[in-house]
Formats: sequence, C-alpha cells, structure tokens
Amino acid sequence: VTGTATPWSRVGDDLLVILQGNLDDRAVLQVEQVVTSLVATGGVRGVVIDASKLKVVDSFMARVLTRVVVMIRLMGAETVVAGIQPAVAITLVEMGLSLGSVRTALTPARGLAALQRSSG
Amino acid sequence: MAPSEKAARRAAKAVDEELRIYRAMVESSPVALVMVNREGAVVQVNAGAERLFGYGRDELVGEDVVRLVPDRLRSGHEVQHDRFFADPAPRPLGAGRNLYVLTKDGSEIPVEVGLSPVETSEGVCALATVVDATAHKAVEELVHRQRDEIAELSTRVMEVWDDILVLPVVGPLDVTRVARLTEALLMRIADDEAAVVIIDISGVPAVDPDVAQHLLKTIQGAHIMGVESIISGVKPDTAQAMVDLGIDLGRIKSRSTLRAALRLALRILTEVRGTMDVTDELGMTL
Repeated sequence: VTGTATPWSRVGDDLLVILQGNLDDRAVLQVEQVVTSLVATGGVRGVVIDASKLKVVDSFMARVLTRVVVMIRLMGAETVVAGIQPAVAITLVEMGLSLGSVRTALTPARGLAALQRSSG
Repeated sequence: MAPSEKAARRAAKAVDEELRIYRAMVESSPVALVMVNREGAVVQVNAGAERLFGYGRDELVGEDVVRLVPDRLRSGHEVQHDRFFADPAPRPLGAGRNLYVLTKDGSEIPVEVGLSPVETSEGVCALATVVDATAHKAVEELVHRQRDEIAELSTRVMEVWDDILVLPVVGPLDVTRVARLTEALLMRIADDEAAVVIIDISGVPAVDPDVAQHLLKTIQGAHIMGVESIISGVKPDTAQAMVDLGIDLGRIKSRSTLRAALRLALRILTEVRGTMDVTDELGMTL
C-alpha cells in the first residue's frame, strides 16, 4: 500500500514496511503509529523494516526505531531492521546507538527469511 | 712614525682581520642570508643567497624583497614582515609551514626561514636565514605516500567463501586506522552482500583500550548492517583490554585462531541459509 509517507505490504504472515525519504520528526512518529496499529489488528507474525532508502538518521529517529521494535515485541510479533547503509551504520555507532537489542539483516529479503526461520 | 701611530695601525689591522674572518664565515655558509629593512628593501645578502635565488648581489640590494616571494604567498609575507617589525625578536625556522621562494628563473623552491633582528645605524633590520628544504620535502612526501600505501595495503578485505569476508588486520592499530578499516569493511559488506565477517587481529602487536573501543564500534557497525561478525586472534593482553572496558562479551563472537573463526562462520552460514548445508560442499564436519 502506498500513497502515505509509509508504504507497507503484507508478505504472508509478515509485514514489510519501507522507510523512505528524509523523515522529519512528525513522519517518524507517523511510521511508529502506522506500524503499531497494523500489528495491533492481529495476524502479524513479524515485521521487516526496510531502511535501505535512508541516507541519514538522527538520534530521534534511532530512538523511535528502537521503541517501535520493543512495542512490536510487546504485541507478540518480531521485528527485523534491514538494509541500513554503511554511512548510516557509522553515524549510529558514533552516536552510541549500537541497536544491540534489535535484530538486523543486510537486505529486506534476508530479513523476511530470518523471520520465517525463527518461526520454524 | 710615532709609537702611538704604530699601535693604532696594528689595532686597525686586527679589526680588518676580524672583519675579513666574519665575512668569510658569512660568505662560505651554504645557508642563504638576506637582510631586509623595515621598508622591505634588501640591505645585504651573502653568496649563499646569490646561489639560491640566482640573482647577483647588485640585482638584490636595494630591491623590494617581495620579488623573492611567490605571488600567492605575498600577503602572508607582508603579515609576517609587519609582525616581525612590530616586535623584533628571533623567530625560529618555519618548518612545515609550506614556504617557498621565487628564484630568478621563475621556479619555486621549498624553504625553511628563520628571522632575527639586527641593529644597524639605519635602524633594526631583519636577518632572514633561508634553508633549501627540497630534500627535506621529498623525504616528507615519501613518508606520506608510504603511509597511504601501507594503509591501502592493510585494509584489504577478502571474500574467503561465499558470503564470508575476512578482514586481516596487520600492524599497529590507531584510532584513525580503525575508523578507516570500519568504513572499508562496511562498504564491502554492502557491495558483496556478505553474511558473516571475520576480523582477524592476530597480526596486531598491541590493542589498547582506545583501539579496543573502536574495534567494538566496527563490530557494532557490522551488526547494524545485519551481518554477524567474529573476532579471531585475540591475544591475552587484548582480552584484558576488552575485559577492563567492561565490554558486554555475551554478544561478541570470538575465536583464538582464524581457522576456528572460519569454522564458526560456516556454521553461522548454515543457520542463515536454513536448509542448505554449506558443510556438505566442504566435505567436512563441524
């Protein structure tokens, strides 16, 4: 589904959410809202957040991302953040945000595969 | 001749002799000496200056000293000139300041310049000691180039197996080098779509806490991008540095040898790929 700032699609029992463009604080919160309400409707096993289009991140965005992951976990689904670019990864590490508790994958496809594996 | 007259002549001769020696010292020096007055005119030069600049003495004395300064450095020269005459005190040779002089044939020579004040009957002058730094500069450039070449050689990332990258780190690590390694590794992870990276630090003589902290950042960067990393070749003192840092070792995969790390990497790959068992391709048991 497109047309909003947060395109998403269902892949089997999983949800693929694409982050795109230069997300401002409002857009970041909107992503949070969209993702959590989709998971809340039920029937979602896991969420892959595709971050490959992101060229920059700020600490707010990183905090919200980490928060979304925890919220989704509380609602009984798993999250994989996929496709973070090298420059973005370096920025995150420099900001002291190692995303240690977040599952990651190099590409969205691998993220989906990881979700399928973990569900057995 | 009266005895007093004789004594005076002897004294004058002694002064002449002393002057001659001083002149010989100045003239035989390989260093270029240029004396400049407050107005910026050349007052005196030695033979070394004639050789360096390619001008005869009569072409320099009385002329503005800026003719010896390349265009682009003239504003800087004026600042230095004014600063010196505002407070005439010895200034050391300006090494590493990228100074150049302009010679008669229009070529530029890298130099180091020192300034000292000299009192004359026409006021304070600046005595500039100018040393040709061509050889010095060449060595400096060689050192820089070799450092870059070594850095280039030592950031080679190798794909040793499908989706497995090895970054062998050889030689001493400093914070700049680790940052460079991290960037090279993360770019390569993206390009090769790797799944596991092995950072082998067995070739690193010593890892201090600062460097250990940065190596940890490399691992975190790899995790953020979605690949597993394994450290191999950790020596006792490195292990100590990491323990002292209070690094959460629970998350870090580490093996003492590259061989063991590769074995672990293959096992991880098997898990990542699910059904496809890479160990079958190798014909080995893990």
